Amino acid sequence: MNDMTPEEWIARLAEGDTSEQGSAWLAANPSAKPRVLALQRIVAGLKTAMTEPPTELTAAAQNLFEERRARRVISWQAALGVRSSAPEAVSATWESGGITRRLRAVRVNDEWEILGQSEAFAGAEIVLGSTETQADSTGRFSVTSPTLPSQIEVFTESGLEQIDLNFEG
Amino acid sequence: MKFLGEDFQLERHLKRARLGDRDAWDRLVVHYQALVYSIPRRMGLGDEDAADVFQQTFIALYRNLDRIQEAKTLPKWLAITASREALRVKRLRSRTEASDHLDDVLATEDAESERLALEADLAHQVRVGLKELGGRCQELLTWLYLEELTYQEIEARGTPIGAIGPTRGRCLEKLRKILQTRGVSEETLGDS
Repeated sequence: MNDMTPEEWIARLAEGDTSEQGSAWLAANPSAKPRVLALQRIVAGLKTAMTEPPTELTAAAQNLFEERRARRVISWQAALGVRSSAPEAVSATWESGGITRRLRAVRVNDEWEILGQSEAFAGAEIVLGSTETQADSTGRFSVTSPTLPSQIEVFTESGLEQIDLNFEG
Repeated sequence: MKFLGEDFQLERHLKRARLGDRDAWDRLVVHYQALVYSIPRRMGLGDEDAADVFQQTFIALYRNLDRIQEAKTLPKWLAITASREALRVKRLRSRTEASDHLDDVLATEDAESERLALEADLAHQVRVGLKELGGRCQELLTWLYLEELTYQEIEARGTPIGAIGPTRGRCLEKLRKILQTRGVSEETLGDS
């Protein structure tokens, strides 16, 4: 190890070398510490830099740009993830008036818990199947139902919106 | 591809995407997809949640194309958007939202988003810098840190074990200098 160059020592230390020799080298070369710290961050960055999304996600993100966007957003949902014949979680996304709204349904103990996740629901009164609720100021709400509802009604200051739901599973 | 002009090209893609150019949008997606996807994954979200965060982030970008004036601000904008969405999903999953302490929750989220955005931005710059580095250095650093090959496995690909350490040190130093020239802050990379 005695013939190691400064660059090599710095790289070793940046990778987490905690040997006595490494500590001794750093103590004898304190000016190298900032570079060790810098390379530690770079090495950490290298390890996460190449996280690639699945191909279908990239294709779906690219499809966003096509003309009939609302339809594409829904079909994108259909393309997402691995869907089994009995999905544990499904979602529906739609657009109207330039606003994207989104529901997610999670199966819990043989019931579906339907969760609003879009800020566009903020303060709205929501009717889902036979259940009525109100979204909080951040647009979140939650209702449970034995089945997935086929329609949602959203009451806001600007009026009533009725959407036929087609949860993509 | 000539790499030195990449920043200029991204600026051009952003402008063209605003004007409705599908090809330019595709290039933006490809360039930033790893940055966006890495954030929910690093936060421990599963495949489906990570896919949702990815989707919502690019929908947000699509809707805000007119507001983003410079491509150089895009990595941080995307990283913050993705980290906030990922935190929202995570909180929804854990069902630990405490409405009594909403201010604390929001303050924690902001700090966490900022930290994640900085880390993701650095990872993105490292990714771009690695491509700029090119050649043998790109190859060696990829083997060491991305594929996590052993020295023996690298030797089997034609690099003598004795040369790996010194070459790795030089390559990391070159990468550090590239990142400095790309504007990664001194605070992030430390002093020379």
